[in-house]
Amino acid sequence: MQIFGYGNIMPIYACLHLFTSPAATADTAAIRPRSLAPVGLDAVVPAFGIGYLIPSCLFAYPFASGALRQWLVVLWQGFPHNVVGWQYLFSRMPTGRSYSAPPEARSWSRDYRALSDVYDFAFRVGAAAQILVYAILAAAYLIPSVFPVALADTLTFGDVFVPGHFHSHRKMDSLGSAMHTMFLYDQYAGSVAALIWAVTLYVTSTGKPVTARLTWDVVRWSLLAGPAGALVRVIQLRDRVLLVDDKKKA
Amino acid sequence: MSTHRTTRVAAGLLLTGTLVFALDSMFGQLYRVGMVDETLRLLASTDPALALLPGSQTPVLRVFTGWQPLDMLLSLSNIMFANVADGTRPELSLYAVQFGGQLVPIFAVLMIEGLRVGNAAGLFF
Repeated sequence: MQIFGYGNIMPIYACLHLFTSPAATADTAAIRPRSLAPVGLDAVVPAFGIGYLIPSCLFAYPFASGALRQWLVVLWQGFPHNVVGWQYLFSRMPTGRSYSAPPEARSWSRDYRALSDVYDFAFRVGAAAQILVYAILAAAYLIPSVFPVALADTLTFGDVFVPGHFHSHRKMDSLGSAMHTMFLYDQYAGSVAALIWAVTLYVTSTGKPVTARLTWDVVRWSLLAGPAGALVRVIQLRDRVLLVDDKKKA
Repeated sequence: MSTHRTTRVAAGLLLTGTLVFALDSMFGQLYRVGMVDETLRLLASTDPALALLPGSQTPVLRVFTGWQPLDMLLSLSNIMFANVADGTRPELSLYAVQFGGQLVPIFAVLMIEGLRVGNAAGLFF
C-alpha cells in the first residue's frame, strides 16, 4: 500500500467491500470477529509496537550508514506483514482469558467490547501523533527562538499540510518536494475514500441517516485524531448500533 | 433496500471520482513534474556515482532479496522515501509523523475487517 498509495488503494478497497462483502450489510452475524484472540489488546498492542512502532523509529533514526538506512526503509515497507505476523503469534499465546469461544457462544456485547478496545487504542495513537504535530507547529509559531531559524521557518501549517496545485505541470523543485506533495494528496484522497466508505457502511447497515450531529462528530474527530481517527469512530459507531443497541431492542 | 442500493451506487460513484483524482494528483503529478523520469534515470543508471539517493551522496541499493522485480520496487521505495527522515525537509518529516500516526487507525480498521465472520472467504478483505 505504501508504494501504490493509500489514496489509490482505499477507493478500490472501499468499492469492492461495499458491493461484495457480507460485512457491508445489516447481517449482524457477519460483522462479528471470527475469534476474539486476534482482536485482544494483548495481541494488537504488542503487534503494532514490534511490527510498526519499532520499524518506524529505526526508519527515522539518523544512522550514519546510508546502506543501513535503506535496509531499514525496506523493513518499514513490510510493516503490514510484520504487524499481522506478530498479532498472529501473540494471539496464539496463552493469556488466561476466554478467547477460544466460537461466535455463537459469545455475547454480542462481548464482541463489541473487544472491537471497541482496538478502535479506542487506534484512535488514541492517531490523536497522539496529531496533537504532537499541532504542538510542534504551535511552538514554532509562538516561540520560534527555541528552533534553529531555518527550521522554524519551514515548520508552518502551510508548509507541512497544504499541497501545491493538484494538476500542476511546473517542473519539481526537488524530489523531496514532489514526494511531499504526493504524500499530501495520498492522505487526503485516501481519507476521503475511507470516510465515504465508513459513512456508507453506517447508513446502509444501520438504516440511520447522516445527521448534523454525525457530521459534526466526524469534523471533531478529524481535528483531534485526523481523518483516520474519524474513520475508526464511525466504524465503531456502526458496530455499536448493530452489536449492542439493536440487540437490546430485540 | 433499494434506498440502500442507491446509497451504495452513489458511494461507488464518489469513490470512483476519488480514485481518478488520486491517480491524477499522485502518480499523474509525479509524471508531469518530472519525478518519474528522474526516478527511472536513477534506477536505470549503472554508474553508482550517478545513481544517488535524492539529496545525498548515498548510492541507491539494488539488491535486497535477489528477486529483481521485488528489488526494483524496494529500490523505488527508497528513492520515494529518501527525504522523509533524512533531515533535508523538516516539513516533510513532521508531516510523516502525522501520517504515520494515521496509519495505525487505518490499518487497525482494515485488520478488523479481515477478521469478521462475513469476510472469512473474501480474497480482498
